[in-house]
Amino acid sequence: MTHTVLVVDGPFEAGTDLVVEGLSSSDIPVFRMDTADFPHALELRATNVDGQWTGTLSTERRSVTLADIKAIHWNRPSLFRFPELSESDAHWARGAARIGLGGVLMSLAARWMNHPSRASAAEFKPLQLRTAHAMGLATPRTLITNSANEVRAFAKHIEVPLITKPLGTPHVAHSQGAETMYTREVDLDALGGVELTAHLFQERVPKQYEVRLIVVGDFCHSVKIKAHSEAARTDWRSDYDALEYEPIETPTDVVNGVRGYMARLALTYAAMDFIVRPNGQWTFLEANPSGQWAWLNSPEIPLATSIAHTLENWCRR
Amino acid sequence: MQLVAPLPLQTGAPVSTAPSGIRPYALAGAHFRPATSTAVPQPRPVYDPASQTAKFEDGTPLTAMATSQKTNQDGDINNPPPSDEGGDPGAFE
Repeated sequence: MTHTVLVVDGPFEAGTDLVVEGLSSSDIPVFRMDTADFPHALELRATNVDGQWTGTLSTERRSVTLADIKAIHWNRPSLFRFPELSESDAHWARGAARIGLGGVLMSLAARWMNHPSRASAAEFKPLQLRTAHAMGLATPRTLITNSANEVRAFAKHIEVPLITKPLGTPHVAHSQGAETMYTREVDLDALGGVELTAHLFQERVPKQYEVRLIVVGDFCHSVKIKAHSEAARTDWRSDYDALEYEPIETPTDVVNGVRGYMARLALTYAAMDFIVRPNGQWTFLEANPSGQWAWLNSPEIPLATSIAHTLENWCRR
Repeated sequence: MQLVAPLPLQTGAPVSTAPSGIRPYALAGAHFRPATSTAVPQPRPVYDPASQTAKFEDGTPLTAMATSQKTNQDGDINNPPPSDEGGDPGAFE
């Protein structure tokens, strides 16, 4: 028996390449696949005997025995594709593939980073804030509403300026161009369109600097984000060229809160964002269960190595 | 109530012709980058089934994130930047 890491992702993901390269230097085999490979470039043979699924996943180049899969790194695989079918038939076929291939994967005796069901549930910001607070982490006062009047009432109640940030994906495209939404200050006299869907408003937390905290298993890798432009100081995502990164220690109370958060939501990986206030208090903003880390990876911040070692260790137990 | 739709996840976002007269508040402050048909398309990477990793044809590894520079860099609105804020985790919820 050769315990194996199963990597499930699209073919063009820089971070996953780094993890696969890290795993390739060990004696643990790696089998990488995309759900979009199924059924054209990926064959599933799974038999249930005495309650256990046995069989193989195979590509043209390699094969893995299902029972050998002991660690699964699941990132952003693509949707099943059935170009030869009608849209109606393809819709049905996607459902069958999801239940069949997906169901077999989910019933393997393996550890996940992250289990897709857990990652999906953990995407919801309202749940993130509630869980973080319950685990002892400081959280900003937050309003989610489709009422402009409620936004003004909230601002009056908390007596500090508000910021807003998108719920869900920050990108929208039309034929004329693409738009990206960043965190921005709220003008209480210009709230048109709040009524069209759910919007998030939050107290503006005084900021010394921001931290991206990458959690891998039990390990917390905190990176101080030094912002050198006005845009980056409001939302560091808006100006990557103005950023510097520095690994820093994670305070013990934050480590404890983060571990509680991960246990509560059954996650083994998360990319968390914090604001560190001028008084040194860390305030939790959000935690992305599939958040990016690769652009921070360096000899000083060895995230790929941390992920690869965790997956390896799961295979050695 | 089903909060997480089983399908379609991890598909490309739709690209409409133009916004209607009203738009959600969140989009009022969005950074707009115009599409262009004159930009030279960026080279696309190639997946190597032997190494199970991808590289550009000149051997350069993939670029990680850096959204501010990568958004719609080739003017193709169907080629969005890499997701950097989580996004949906896959086809199985």
